[in-house]
Amino acid sequence: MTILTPILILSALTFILGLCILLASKKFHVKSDPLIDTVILMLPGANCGACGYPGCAQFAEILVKTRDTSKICPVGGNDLSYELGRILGIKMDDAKPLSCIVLCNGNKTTTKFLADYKGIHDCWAVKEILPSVKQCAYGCVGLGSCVEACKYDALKIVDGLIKVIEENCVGCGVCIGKCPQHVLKLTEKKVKKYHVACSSVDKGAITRKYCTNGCIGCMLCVKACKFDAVKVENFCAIIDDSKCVNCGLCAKVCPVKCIHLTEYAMASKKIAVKKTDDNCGGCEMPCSVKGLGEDGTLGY
Amino acid sequence: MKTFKCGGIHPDENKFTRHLSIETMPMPKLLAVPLIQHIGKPAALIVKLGEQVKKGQCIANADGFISASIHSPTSGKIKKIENHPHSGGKFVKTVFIESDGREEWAEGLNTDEIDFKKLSLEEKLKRIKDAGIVGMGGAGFPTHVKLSPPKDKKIDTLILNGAECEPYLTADHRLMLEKTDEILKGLSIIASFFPDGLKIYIGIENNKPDAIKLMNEKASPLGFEVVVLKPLYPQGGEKQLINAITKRTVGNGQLPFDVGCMVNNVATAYAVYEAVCKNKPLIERVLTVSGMAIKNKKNIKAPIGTMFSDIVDYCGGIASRTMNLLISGGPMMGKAQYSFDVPVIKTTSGILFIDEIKLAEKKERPCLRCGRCEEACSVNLKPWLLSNLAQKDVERTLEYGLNQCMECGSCAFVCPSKRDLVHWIKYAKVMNANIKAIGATERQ
Amino acid sequence: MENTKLIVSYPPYTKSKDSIEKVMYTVVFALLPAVVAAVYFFGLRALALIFVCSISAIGFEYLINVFRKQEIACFDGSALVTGILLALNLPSNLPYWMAVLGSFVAIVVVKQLFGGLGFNVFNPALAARVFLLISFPVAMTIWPIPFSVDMQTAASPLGILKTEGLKAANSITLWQAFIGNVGGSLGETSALALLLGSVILFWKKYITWIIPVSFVGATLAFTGIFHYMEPLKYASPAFHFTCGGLLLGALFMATDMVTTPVSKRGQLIFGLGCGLLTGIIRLFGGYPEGVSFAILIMNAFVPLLDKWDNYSNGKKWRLTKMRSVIVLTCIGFFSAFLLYMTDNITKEPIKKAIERVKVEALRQIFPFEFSDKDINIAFDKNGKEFFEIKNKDNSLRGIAVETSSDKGYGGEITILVAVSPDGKVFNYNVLSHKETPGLGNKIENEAFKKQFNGKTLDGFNWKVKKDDGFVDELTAATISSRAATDAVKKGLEVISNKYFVENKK
Repeated sequence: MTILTPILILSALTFILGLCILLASKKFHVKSDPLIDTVILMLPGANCGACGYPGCAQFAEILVKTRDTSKICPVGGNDLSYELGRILGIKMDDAKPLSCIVLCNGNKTTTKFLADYKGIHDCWAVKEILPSVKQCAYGCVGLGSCVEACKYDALKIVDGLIKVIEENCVGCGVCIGKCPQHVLKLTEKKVKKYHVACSSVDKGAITRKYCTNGCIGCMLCVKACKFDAVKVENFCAIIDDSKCVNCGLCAKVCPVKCIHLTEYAMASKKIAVKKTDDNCGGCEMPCSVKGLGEDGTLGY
Repeated sequence: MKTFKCGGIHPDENKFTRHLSIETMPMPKLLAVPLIQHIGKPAALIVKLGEQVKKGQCIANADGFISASIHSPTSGKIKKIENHPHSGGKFVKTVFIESDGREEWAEGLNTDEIDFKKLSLEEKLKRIKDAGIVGMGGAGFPTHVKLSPPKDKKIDTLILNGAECEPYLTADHRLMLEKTDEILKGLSIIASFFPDGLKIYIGIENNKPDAIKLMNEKASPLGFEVVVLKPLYPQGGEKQLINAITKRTVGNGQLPFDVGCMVNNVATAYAVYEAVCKNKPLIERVLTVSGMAIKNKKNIKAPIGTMFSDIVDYCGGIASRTMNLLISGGPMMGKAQYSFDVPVIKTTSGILFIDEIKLAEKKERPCLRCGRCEEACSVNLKPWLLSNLAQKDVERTLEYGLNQCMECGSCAFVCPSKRDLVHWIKYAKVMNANIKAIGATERQ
Repeated sequence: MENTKLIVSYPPYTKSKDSIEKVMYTVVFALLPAVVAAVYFFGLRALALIFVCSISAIGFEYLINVFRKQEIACFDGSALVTGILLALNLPSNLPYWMAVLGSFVAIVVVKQLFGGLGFNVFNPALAARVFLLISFPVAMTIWPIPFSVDMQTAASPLGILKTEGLKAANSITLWQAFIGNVGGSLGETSALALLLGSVILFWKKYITWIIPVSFVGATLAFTGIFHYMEPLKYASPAFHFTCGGLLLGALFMATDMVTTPVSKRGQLIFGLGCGLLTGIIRLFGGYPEGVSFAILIMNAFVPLLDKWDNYSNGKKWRLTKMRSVIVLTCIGFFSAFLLYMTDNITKEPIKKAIERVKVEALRQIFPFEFSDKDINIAFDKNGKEFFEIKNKDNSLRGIAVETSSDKGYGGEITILVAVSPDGKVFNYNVLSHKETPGLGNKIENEAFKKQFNGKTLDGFNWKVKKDDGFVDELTAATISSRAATDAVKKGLEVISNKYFVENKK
């Protein structure tokens, strides 16, 4: 019978503590809209920050609260926007699918190295003591500070140069700030996309000395372009995306082959092609060929 | 023997050139004078391509409050002006001057010695500023700014830094032996800027007994006290020197004038003498050429702008085919160079040619938490913690005193795991600066 | 000169000649005297065991390096140190496979799974030793005697102290314990060898003096206080210094850099904590040796000790961070207080319950009725308890006493025997026994018990009939009968010593 006392005390104790927990859960309860929770579940959940908010939870909260149609999750793209719009009862704006490109093509075989670097394996760490590990002070350093930042495994160092794995890249843009040389850039995905893979602003002769893949500013591409989309600034060619139709003529004439083609897997939208009569030859057919058809199935 | 309060290490001294007197190097054909050789804004160019210049003529003016002017070390023609490697590691705008062999001084410069006491304070300060004198111990802070501390800071102690704690370097040592009177005159000139109640010390490490003896003979009659210091690295650091001699502590974020002290290097004092008494701008300096991979080790007086490759030729060439490390400065705080085509600047205290096979195999091992880096740190920091946080959570390093680190290298010297501690700390500083900059632009 | 690239890295470009290898192999060198002592006292099996531990430790680390695709770092000396330290913690006759298992636990589980060199929280050798101790308690606590040819074993000095008390342990001379001529694990026996070896570590400044001094000091102080208060119950500090793994732990385990605090203040707290815990476990805990547990427990506190010392910006660690700790401590204190209250409240009833059992037993052995208040408890000069049944006029009606005999077949037999004021046995009750059911337990039968009724101490031969006594022994339970007889006789003797001899006087 004397066992009764400890039983009573322990029961009372647990009862009181239980009450405390109950009170606490009521008093400190965080009210949340169940809709926000649903939206959070639909988001990719990588907390990459590409939307401009610190994490998926915050993006969901803002989206549900403001019902702002311009709030886009670049990772989920248009498919996700459509689904979110359905749930929230609004029509979301179209998201342009983005991808990351590298404005450098100098690897260990094509580019001369400056010194035998033995410090910390990080691109920023190199910049404190050298202009770069390679003799080109403007291109990719190649030690991979950006690789760790990518949550989608889309970046890889191959032979001392950074490469983007297109299937994995979702265009979140987190890697852009991680490059001390600013050779990573976000660009709109198209079925065919051309870009100049060089950032060197040295004179052509100097560039040629240290990198066989570097742009020498010869301006052959400028002359070849029929759409005025290429120009050379500071001895380096740049393609203007708003004017470029991705015909590929500049790439054909480039003597150092530094203009790259990237082909993205996209749902091809059949659009009507504006006939230009220029017969630029980019599609290897003259424009007036009957084979074009009404829907202009060129897949641009 | 006096020394500073905490930390410190004693690397092998390797002062192979302590008995070699200073040799004056002949003027090379082409000089490369960078426009930044000091702390602060780069100097603003005032000459043009193709222009003829005289020796000592000002070719770039100090731009802003903290800046210094740059002068031509020889008479000749401006050959080219372009970006060129700098011993600090970056590309810097550099003026290339082709010497015409005549060594004609510009008007009014390189006069006979005058008595500095006849000049007023303003005149002396103007001469120091016009001569472009900067701290020649390695930091490169413009001296005319240093000599004008804020009005509310009273200076009561002046210290001449003759410690030269870095291994291999003996330039200051030889300068103290061969130009003693001039240095003391320079020290007096500096002392004249703080006339009331100034106590003047000359700090020399006890591995230079001949310099101590000579300084004692010559300086004591002038009222300067020679203080013998323990040869502990980094004895020559400002904060450590002040603590050793006056027992005062320069705290975080403070400068020497906050505790009433001022420290000047021996070579700077010599340059001050030349500027005030002979109206000579800073166009040459004494440096030590040493290391096991150079044929002839020397202490040389070289013009600013001399390429390292020219110095190699003057010193007999590279002795070892496996030479793989070229250091500008000392082995503890100097910078490794990737090319021989860098010029001597105002703060180059030495050039070392090292044949270090072991460095090539160096690999970082994990931190053993042995605590030796903490014991060695002369600023009371925890390098093991800072380097671990630099890899994981960079912003927290600021909480643990990151910005107090003077990168002396004592921690990395003692680490048994051969961790690149100083590099991680520097990396943390850079990343924090980036974060701050991004924060500033976002707010805009 | 043009073709070889110059090396560019960050300063400093000169480093001290110390390296991990140098530190580790110096520790190995410092352990050599202990190894030599182990071989001297325990023979070549000790050497073989050390080899087995070392080779397997290095082997397991090599496999991990390969498995994790790291560069091969198993020869840097840290695995060798772990292997040797583990071996020095084992008895020399431990089966080899157990030693290999210990190496596995030390290297793979405690060191590599926590992140490898520099990241492990617990001392690998000690954690493995504790693992082996708990998994194979018998094999790990039978210590070979030094110089024995055929592996005779005995308990270690601390073991003797724990199970048999100070008297037995005092038979070991301290000098012998100091040089190592006692049973124990390979490394802990010779304090002399350990001290000799550690000199080089102190000289080269590889270990700090703070931890060994505070560790040993705290243990000696703690045991010293208790020894001073009760010298017959607690061993002297000198005993604790020379016997057991105190020196091995304080000099080589608690000074391991990876698992101990970096700051001096943290090291002091660590050492004191280890010493205190060692003292508590040795004196009051269930295990005879407390060093391993003490060090492992303090290892768990090391991250906290380091955190307390890393103050931000020169300011001391703020009290706000203590808030959660204070709250937790209060809860713990409150709970403990509640427990104490509960214990207090229930103590009396528990005591009363025990008493009641005894009273029930008393009622069974006296042939008359009596009430509770007729029972009086008296003591003799040895502190033995007697139950006196008094008459209304306070004269003695009967005396009962609890006696035992360890001559039982299964062990000790405890009985409660009742005697009349004129020295005649009334009856007895068996309180506890370990006799064989069906045979020996028949000493509880009325038939057997009746024999003793009315018998006095004098005038009867208190032995079984086989030994020419009066007791008719039970069939096939002679030993149990002997023991019961012996117990009853003892009870009679004790009662007559107190009541009849004294009265006669």
